[in-house]
Amino acid sequence: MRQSRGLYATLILLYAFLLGPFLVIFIAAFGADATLAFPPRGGFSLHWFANVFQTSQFIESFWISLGVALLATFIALLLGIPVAYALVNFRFPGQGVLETIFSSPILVPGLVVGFAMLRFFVLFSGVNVFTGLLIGHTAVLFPYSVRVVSASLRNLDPALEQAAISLGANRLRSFMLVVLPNVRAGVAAAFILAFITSFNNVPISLFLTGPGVTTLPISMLVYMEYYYDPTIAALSTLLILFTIVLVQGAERLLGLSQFV
Amino acid sequence: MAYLDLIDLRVEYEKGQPILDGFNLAVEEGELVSLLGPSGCGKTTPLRAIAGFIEPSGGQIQVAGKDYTRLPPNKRDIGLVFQSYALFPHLTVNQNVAFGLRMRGIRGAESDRRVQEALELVDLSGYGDRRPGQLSGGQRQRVAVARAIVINPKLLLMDEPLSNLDAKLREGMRVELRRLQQRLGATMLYVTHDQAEALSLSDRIVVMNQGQIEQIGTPEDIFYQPSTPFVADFLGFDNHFVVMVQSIDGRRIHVQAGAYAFEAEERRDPAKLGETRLRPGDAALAYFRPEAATLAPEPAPNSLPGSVLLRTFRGSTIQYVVATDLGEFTVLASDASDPVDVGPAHVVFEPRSLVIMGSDKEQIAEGIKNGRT
Repeated sequence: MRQSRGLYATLILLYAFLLGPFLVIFIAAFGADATLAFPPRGGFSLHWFANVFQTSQFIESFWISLGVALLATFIALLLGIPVAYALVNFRFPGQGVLETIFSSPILVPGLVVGFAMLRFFVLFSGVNVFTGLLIGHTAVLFPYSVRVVSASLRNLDPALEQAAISLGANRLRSFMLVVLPNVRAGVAAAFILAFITSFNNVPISLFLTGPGVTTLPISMLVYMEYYYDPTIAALSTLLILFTIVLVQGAERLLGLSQFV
Repeated sequence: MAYLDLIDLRVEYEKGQPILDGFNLAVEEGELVSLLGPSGCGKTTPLRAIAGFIEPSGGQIQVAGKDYTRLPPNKRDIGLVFQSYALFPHLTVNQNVAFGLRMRGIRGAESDRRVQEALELVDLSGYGDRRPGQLSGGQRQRVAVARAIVINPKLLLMDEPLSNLDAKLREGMRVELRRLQQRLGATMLYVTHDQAEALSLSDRIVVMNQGQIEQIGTPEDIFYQPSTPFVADFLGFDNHFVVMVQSIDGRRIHVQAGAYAFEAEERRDPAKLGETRLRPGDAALAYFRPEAATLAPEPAPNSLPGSVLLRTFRGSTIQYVVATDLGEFTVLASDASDPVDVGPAHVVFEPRSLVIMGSDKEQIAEGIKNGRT
């Protein structure tokens, strides 16, 4: 009993530490004063939320972030699922090396990846900014999709696919009709993880954004360099809500809790 | 040529380490043959090779006169039933059973009719709209069978299909599988480690050990007349002793063990035994089952004097441990027989229950090593 009380206390402290800053931001967003402060000064106001929607750079970069995140996630899954399938189902020379390579963007600091990509795209100067950003994000998301999908594939009874094949399905049909439907929760988990990773990414975007093409986190950084008002707090609050709605929605739809 | 022919089959998962080497097996049309052996004996490997999941590195697989050795697995028309059933969890029972038909372009009314027929055969009509997750183990097993037979496969392969069921259900399903196989006239290869299952289902049993065939025979042959020490051990011949063959007179074999002489009777036709035939002067092993010997207070023909060390009551049987000049033996007596007290007693053998085998010195050495003698 004493032990569990200690455990509870630790847990509450831990959560307070983790969630405290969010609470500060959340409350500060409603302050009327033009300086970000906690506790907020000058009474209650929704002015800064309105300001978010009136600031065109936020609106434009939100759509770019959304577009990049969706497209990059889609491409990463399109490439990642077959690669995961091959890694799980076939034994070939150099497999271990490949698995390491596919996880390297997770291991290498994002800034390094971003800088390397910038140099690379400058060399091939024909690539426009949006394409470069998309390629950069896809490269970062790809290992996530391989990782999560292969974990899900590894849990699948190999007899399922053998059954489909013995009943006359070729590899493609057995994959589409039997394997994929049974790892859809894993694919959805990979989608959410990759989407959020891309949507929140700063280090890669920092190097690969350019004139007229900026992601939301970058425009937030830029905004903060010039203004110190609660707009950023308001926007952060909105983003937290957006993420919660997204994850909860996916959870309801697919029951992701078993994967994350 | 037989319906299913495995000729000189060689299978290796890793180069230079064959699981099967020079494996030969012929199965006639409509026959049910079991591959029986302990786990790890390679009995599943022929099944995987026939289904096409592993490519043999040598030899041939022929089914109904057609070369299957390199045929892609989805073109083989083989019905497979897995130990895990491998039902598609995202599809209903109907869709599961219809899967093979769908792959063959059979849809609509024709498909519905055949699915219904197959489900009726396994006694599951009315369950078509359920998902595998909503069925019991036995019902899933039936769906797996229906899914395999609905495509009218050239061959049915079953890999330990009953080992995930509880004991009572298993016995019932054994009978049903056998009945279904006979009704369909299906040619079937059945892998199991359960000797009772193999004995009650099969037309013939193939006993395997370390990738080699130890013995092929009818269930009666295998049960009463094992031809190698491994088969004898595996099928419950818990007792053996070393003998010398004295004379052979048709099916009658006279042997000598130390100071004692015994008479054994071969159940098989001696003319068909070929090379495994014993000759006078051969060293051999005599095997007997604990339940095939009896205890008597007085000497009798074909008996061995000894002394009961231990008596254990086991319900419908009583187990005795008897020490003799030839070793320590276990004897199981029915509870209807008169109990024998600890002390002197004679172990009496029916000539038919003594199995004499092996003139191979190595085999005998192995027999002595493994046995209690």
